[in-house]
Amino acid sequence: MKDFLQLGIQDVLSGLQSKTFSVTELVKAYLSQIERTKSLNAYVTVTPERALEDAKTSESLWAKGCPRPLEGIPLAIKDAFCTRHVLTTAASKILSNFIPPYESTVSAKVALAGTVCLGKTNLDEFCMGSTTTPVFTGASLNPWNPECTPGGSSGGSAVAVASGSALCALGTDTGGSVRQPAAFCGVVGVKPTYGRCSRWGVVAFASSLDTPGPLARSVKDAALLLEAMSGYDPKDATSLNAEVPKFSAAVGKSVRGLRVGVPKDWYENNHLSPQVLALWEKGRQMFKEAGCEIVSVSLPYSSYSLPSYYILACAEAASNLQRYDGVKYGFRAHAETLEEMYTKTRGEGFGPEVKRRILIGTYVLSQGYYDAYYTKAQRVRKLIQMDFDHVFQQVDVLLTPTTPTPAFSLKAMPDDPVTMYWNDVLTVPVNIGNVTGISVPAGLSDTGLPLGLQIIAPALQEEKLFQFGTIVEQGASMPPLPFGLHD
Amino acid sequence: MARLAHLHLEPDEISSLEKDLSKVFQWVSELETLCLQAIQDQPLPVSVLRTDEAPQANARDEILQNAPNSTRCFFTVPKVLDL
Repeated sequence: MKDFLQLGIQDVLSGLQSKTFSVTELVKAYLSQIERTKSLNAYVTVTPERALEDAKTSESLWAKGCPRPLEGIPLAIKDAFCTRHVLTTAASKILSNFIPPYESTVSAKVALAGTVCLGKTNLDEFCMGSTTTPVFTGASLNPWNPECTPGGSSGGSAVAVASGSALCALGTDTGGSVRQPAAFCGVVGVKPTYGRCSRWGVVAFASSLDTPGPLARSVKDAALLLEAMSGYDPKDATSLNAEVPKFSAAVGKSVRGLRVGVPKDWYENNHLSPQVLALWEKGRQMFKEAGCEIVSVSLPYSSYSLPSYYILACAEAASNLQRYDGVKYGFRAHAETLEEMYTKTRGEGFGPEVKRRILIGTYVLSQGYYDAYYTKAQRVRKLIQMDFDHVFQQVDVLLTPTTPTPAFSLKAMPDDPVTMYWNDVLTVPVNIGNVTGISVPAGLSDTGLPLGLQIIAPALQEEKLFQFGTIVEQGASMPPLPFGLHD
Repeated sequence: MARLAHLHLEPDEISSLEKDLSKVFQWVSELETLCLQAIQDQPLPVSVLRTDEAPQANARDEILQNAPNSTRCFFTVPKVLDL
């Protein structure tokens, strides 16, 4: 079983083609691993019957000689993607019994590509958070050290991939929610260009920022999964009608002679731990040795990314979450009047962080404050996008750490929301700036926790993420992922 | 704000949220220091719209399966008027 779990996507496809093992054997191995690692609480819902049925379908296609691109690949799906007839909770009591009557575009696309869905993974409630500690479904634990957070909000997906209970996974990234947990869990995570992957059927948090993205064990695997996830969707009005390149072809391409920018404003950020600064220097050396020119660049407005993000994201969340009223679906509190039903349903159904963000968003959109906060944040967003446009005239990609620190202890979680929001200081600019980024495991902290380096590329140039990401992967010498298996 | 957001909050929630929100608004107020004169005339992003067409026809029964309370083809809710 150990051998199955350690194979990457290409090796699994080769093994299935050569009939070394069957899809059912592979899926059963993953279902056993899910059971073995259940204390990590990666999954909200495991779907063994569906997985084994999908496995049979895959086997028949292999037998007919017409496998799809990811035929038989075991995949976990963040519980923010609507999956038809499968419970979808967004880790919230208010959706505790919601069974979607339809499938999200991205989960449908990866299923059409042949993946086998193992189940729905845990997240911060409504994708709001960076620790995967929702009140309703409980905290997920970091497989490298179960006393530590795996990051969030796609923490369940990151845990599943890092603990060998999924070969790859779907997540969503609004302010870093794929990249940050990927970094904390020692796996690869990608925030594609906004609009590259459809948002239709994704439980909405911030509609101008939400971006589905892949989590995987290697840069190549992430590229293969992103190929399956991407593409124009007429049902999503913000979906980009852009050709989907073969991202995996960029893996291993030479970077010699290309230019890597290091944002000096971020370097001077005093929230970065010494270990993270050392990792960043290690990353610069990797690219120098690969023949790149390292260029110091400036993104002067990027320091305003976090406050503008929290204004915009909370405003959009306050609007999006108005739909949860106990009328049409989900949890409904007992009440005598309609108004009481609304307020009690939402008061009891939402957790504390969600309520906090709804109130922030309601305030910034309210009469008298709209221009001071929301309009201003929109203009700041434009400035940050112009910063990135300017910098990408000078360099091909940017190199930064993904997180300011390694994963922290669940017992030492900051109770001040502003301190917590600083976890996203290095990832949020990518979302606000409308560019694309990848986190690649690059080293370990002095307590054995993974650290990630982030490559940032211009919009619609994800190939550069995989091209440059390979350099980090090759230079990192990471130990094996903690599957917890013993001989 | 809670009334505007249709959120019922318990008294202990209110006091802790007041503290948290003060900190957040103090933090985001650093945007006030920015001079945005240079881009004041630039258009702001607008919502991208599409035709309002239901992607799936005849889904009423399936949709009603998730209803907390329904009667025939209607979602049922507590009274609106106290007559």
